[in-house]
Amino acid sequence: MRLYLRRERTSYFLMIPVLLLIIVIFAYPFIRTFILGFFKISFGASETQYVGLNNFKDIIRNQTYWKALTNSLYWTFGNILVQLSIPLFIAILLNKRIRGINFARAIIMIPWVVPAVTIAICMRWMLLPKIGIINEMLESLNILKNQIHFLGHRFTAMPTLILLNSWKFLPFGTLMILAALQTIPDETYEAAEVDGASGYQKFRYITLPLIGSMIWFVGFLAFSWNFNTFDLIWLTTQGGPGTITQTLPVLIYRTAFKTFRLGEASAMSVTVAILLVVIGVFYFKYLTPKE
Amino acid sequence: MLKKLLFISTIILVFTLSAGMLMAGGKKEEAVEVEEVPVEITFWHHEAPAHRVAAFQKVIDLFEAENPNITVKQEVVMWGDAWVKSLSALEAGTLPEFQFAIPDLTLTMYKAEALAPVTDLVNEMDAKYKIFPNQKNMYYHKGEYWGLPIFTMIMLMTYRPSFLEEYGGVSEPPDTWDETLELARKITENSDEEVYGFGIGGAKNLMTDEQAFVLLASAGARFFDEDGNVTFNNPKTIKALRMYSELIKYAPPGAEAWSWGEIELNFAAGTLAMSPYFPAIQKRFHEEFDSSDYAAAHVPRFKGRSERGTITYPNEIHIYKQTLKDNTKLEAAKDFVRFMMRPEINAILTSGQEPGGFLPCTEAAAEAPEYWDNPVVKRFENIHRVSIESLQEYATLYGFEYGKWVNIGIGDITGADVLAEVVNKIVSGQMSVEDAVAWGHSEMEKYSIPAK
Repeated sequence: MRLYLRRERTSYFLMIPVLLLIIVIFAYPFIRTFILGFFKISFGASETQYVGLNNFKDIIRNQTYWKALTNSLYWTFGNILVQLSIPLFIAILLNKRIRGINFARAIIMIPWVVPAVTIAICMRWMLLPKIGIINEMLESLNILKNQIHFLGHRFTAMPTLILLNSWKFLPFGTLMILAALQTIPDETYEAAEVDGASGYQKFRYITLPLIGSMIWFVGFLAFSWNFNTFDLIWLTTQGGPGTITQTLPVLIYRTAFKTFRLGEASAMSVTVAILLVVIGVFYFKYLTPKE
Repeated sequence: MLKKLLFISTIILVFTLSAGMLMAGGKKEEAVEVEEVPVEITFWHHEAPAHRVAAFQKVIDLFEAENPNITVKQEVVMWGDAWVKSLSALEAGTLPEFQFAIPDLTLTMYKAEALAPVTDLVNEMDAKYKIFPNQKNMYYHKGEYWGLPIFTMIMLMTYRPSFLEEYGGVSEPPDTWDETLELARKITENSDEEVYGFGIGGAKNLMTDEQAFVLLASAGARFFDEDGNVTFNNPKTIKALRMYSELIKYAPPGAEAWSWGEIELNFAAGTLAMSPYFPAIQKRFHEEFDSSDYAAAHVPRFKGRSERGTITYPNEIHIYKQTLKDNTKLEAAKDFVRFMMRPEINAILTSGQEPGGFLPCTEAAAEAPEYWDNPVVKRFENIHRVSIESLQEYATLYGFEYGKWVNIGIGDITGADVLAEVVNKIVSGQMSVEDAVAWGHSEMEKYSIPAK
């Protein structure tokens, strides 16, 4: 018994560094942000003023906040849709045993290693009408009749950004799903073929159930990463045209570091944190694949 | 006898020792004056490109050669981070001795109670080199100067002379905004939209703020009255922004989302004939294209108005309060600032660093042969003459038109890009000019802090 207690004490002792790290990196900033949400703070100004729930009331009344929330949801679910479907398709192709497949698997990693800043600046210019190569190409292939400003038009800006962001996510999703696909034994498919299963049936009843937990996991990561994406949006459209691509992280950045209203920005961050926790709990409770 | 000799010897010894000690003491004091204590000072600037850092280093090297006891360190903080880093450094107590800024940033640091006045330095430099009044007045508040302009920037009507001739049938740029609109239409139509008449943006960013202000300034519209009350919603603003919304019809597709890079790309690609912009692209025309097909003129007037208007950004240095605690550092910083203001040295930071982009802000620097000797300046000499005329006569900055600070909320108004958002609402068709201006007015009132 004494040995057990000593071992338990040692285990707790060994956990201290990790706990400290969690407190410093996660708990302290979150609690501090939560507290700041109750103050009116102008960054750099010496005075702060306790305003109770006023910051929260203000953001609830603020149309820009609700528009940013809607944009965030559109952005997140749009990205998830692309980031789960295309990698799944590519992973199935890369799972074939054909010549040069290893080279193809290596090349798929390129978007992952290109920094977001490079993608943003290059694509911003490549997508320009008149002088951008993409418009020029689409027009010469007769796909486009008139050149369009993909990032500058209210109907195309968000879908274009979603595609750009998903292109960067592509290698991660593909490799994760490919890893799951490779765990499915060939015999399973061979048995299905003997039973006369079609390609669709093999995919629907063998592949999908067996990689379901991986898709679920990739989906969760895609959700949390996408919801908090800031760099690509800021570097390409800064939330424009108008507020069409202004998601919550962009709005929070603008509020905190462009107009220096830290209290209001903190209150917004708290609402985002709560929202993410609620969605996370829902996701884990109701969408976890059953064993 | 022996006693007498001993007495005299003692007197001589005491005298010699005293004299020796006095002389030694005196010499010691002199030695302190001559032998200067080594001192290191740091300053922040925001010009990240390698050639700009090199220009600053050149000035530092020349200064250090002249002042071997002073070491100067430059640190680059990107413009986008300048506000946040400066305020964070203030809270952390890690600010440099002084830093470069524009009026908005200076005002932000003033509000944070971080600045020491530099009135003595401004007066000294003004007496010596004659600072352009508009440039120094943007840093004047409550009887003190809070920044000393070192170099400046300005937007002019930049254009491609060959496009004006070929598609517009004119050899001179337009003098009024109505003529500009007509010429922009002509160029766009006559070139079958290969070349667009006018380059302005409509996105919610600083470039749109700046370009829209050029028209506002031409119309005589201001954000505030002399008491700092918001006066944005007035007929002059509406007139200026109505013209803006007409002009953007002759901008290349997608201009509603442009930033600085796109203007420069379009100018260089030959798809743009005119644009109110910083005339810094001349360097590319000289170095990359070896072409003189680039020029700049005074910003057009509104019909019936004799005054012109455009935007200028005096790049100043301000000294932080904490620097006052160490007199040696304070004096070293002031010596370095004095050094940068010498016309021949100032030319390294203006035409030597970014010809057309950075301009002198004193009469002496504007006349310095070192400034005009630059090959890019020689090629585009007229642009520089027009720039200096505009700087001396009418260039100003939104919120800083009165020769004093009238509303210290201007930094937040700029930070929130209120003017750009007004423009964006107009050009994207979300609101009429009148409604957007009324909206902008109420937004500005949220941030407004009249100085009185």
